[in-house]
Amino acid sequence: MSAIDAQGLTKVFDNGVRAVSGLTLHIERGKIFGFLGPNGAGKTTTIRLLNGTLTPTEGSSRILGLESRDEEIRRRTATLAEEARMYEHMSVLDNLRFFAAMYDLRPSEAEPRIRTLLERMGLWDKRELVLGSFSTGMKKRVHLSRTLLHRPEIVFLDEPTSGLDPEGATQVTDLVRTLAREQGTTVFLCTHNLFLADRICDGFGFIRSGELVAAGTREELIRAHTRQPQVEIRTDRDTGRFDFREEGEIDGIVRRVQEQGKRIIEVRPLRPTLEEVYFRTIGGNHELE
Amino acid sequence: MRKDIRSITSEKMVLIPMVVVPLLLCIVVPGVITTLALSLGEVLITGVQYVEKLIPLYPVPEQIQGFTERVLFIFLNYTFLPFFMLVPIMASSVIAANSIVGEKERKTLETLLYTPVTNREFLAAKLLASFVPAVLISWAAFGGYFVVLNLIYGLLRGTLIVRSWIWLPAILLLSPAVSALGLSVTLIVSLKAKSYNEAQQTAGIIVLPFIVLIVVQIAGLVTFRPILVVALAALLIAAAYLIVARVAPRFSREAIISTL
Repeated sequence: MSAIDAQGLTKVFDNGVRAVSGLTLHIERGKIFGFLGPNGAGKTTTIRLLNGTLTPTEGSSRILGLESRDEEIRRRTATLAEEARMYEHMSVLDNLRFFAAMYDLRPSEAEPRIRTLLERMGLWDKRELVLGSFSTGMKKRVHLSRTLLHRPEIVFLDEPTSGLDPEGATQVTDLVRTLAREQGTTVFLCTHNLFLADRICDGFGFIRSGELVAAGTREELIRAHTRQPQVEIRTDRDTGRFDFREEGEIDGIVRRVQEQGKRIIEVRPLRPTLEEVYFRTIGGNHELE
Repeated sequence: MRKDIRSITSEKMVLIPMVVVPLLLCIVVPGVITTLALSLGEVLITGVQYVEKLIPLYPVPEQIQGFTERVLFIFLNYTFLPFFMLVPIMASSVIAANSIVGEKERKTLETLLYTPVTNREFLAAKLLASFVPAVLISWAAFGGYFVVLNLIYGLLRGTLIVRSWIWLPAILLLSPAVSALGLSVTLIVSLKAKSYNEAQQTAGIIVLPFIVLIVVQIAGLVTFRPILVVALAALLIAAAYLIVARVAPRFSREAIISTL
């Protein structure tokens, strides 16, 4: 059974803004799906439509087989929003206990779960400290613990690495991957950070002005949206680029260049990247980390 | 609800008006007036000629003898009663604004709305978390008023001064009714307000009818009787119920999240 199925999902707000338009998505269970697009592209609205917080103007979605308005969705999923916070005047432990209660976890279930998660996040020793005293990176890890408290089947992460330094961003991303793989959780990851998304995602969707402009696995996207791979050969006379289909063809290309009496200095295969697909499909100079 | 109450005590901007206003309005000001009146006698009281007109309007117990004492009795038991309503109205609107718009401002509301809490549970928790502390604060303020004023008067005149039966419906019925009205108005404001200050200032308008009540009562146009207090409480509860019933459907997860 698929985790997320969306058919022609559209959201037009009361002020006339069309935030999401005809979005069709299919995400298998246990996969990590990277959802990328520039600011204002409709990523957050998509999460809110999928987690049942917003009602679509048109189209429909099924999350874990449940209709989009089914309140059970929020019990079986979790959302970590970009700007949403927890209670800064409360300790880490009290925050997590409060949210565990919101998911109807009994203390006998919640306490060991909180301990396990905080130990994994390296925060168990700081559990009695108030959240307000934490750095952005530590807060993100507490948020992530909160998100995973009730063992959600789908986790929606909206820019989980925003505000983090590269080391912190890598740490959080790796944690997401490890925890998702261990528990078979489906992750819907909205991000600007293509580099980090590329490290952990099984599939990708690119959204622009509310419309899904490309979706698929890394290989599918590269195949469908970029040029043929090339090899760049720098010689003592010039630098040239040559198309190839299979890597085995590179030897032949190099030989042909040498037969022209040129001395080879460097041979560099230029493989199309996900970044190229992004810019080709999104267009313009949209920001990307 | 426990979390909301802890949030109140951790926010100085919310806690200070809830402690300072009842303390000043219900204990310091009447305490000073009583002490001065009993020490300076008619010098202080006769300046306020209109109070004299109020004496026949209200039942004064036989134990309260002397002009100054009788005026003081009316002042402390009747004139002061509407001032007491400012405490629950202020407390309920401060707490409701903090618990709804304050959460919006501190960006904790979104996290809360992504949990399985239903619209009904969310609204009920927010209403209760504002209503219960507001009523308790007004009761505590009255408790302080009752003890301090009776202590001052008792030491100087040997009997109790805050002793009218009108306090019973006022504290048990009118005070909760006023709290309910205050928070229902704050609820409307909270739908649109972006900041705690904006919500607080807009909801503050609800104080105006009570100021009018204070003025008409001091002018002798309205005489407080227990039945009037009960009727007023019933009217306010009905108004609060109508407002909440009208606003509640608009207090959906979707409506709130769209304003974030």
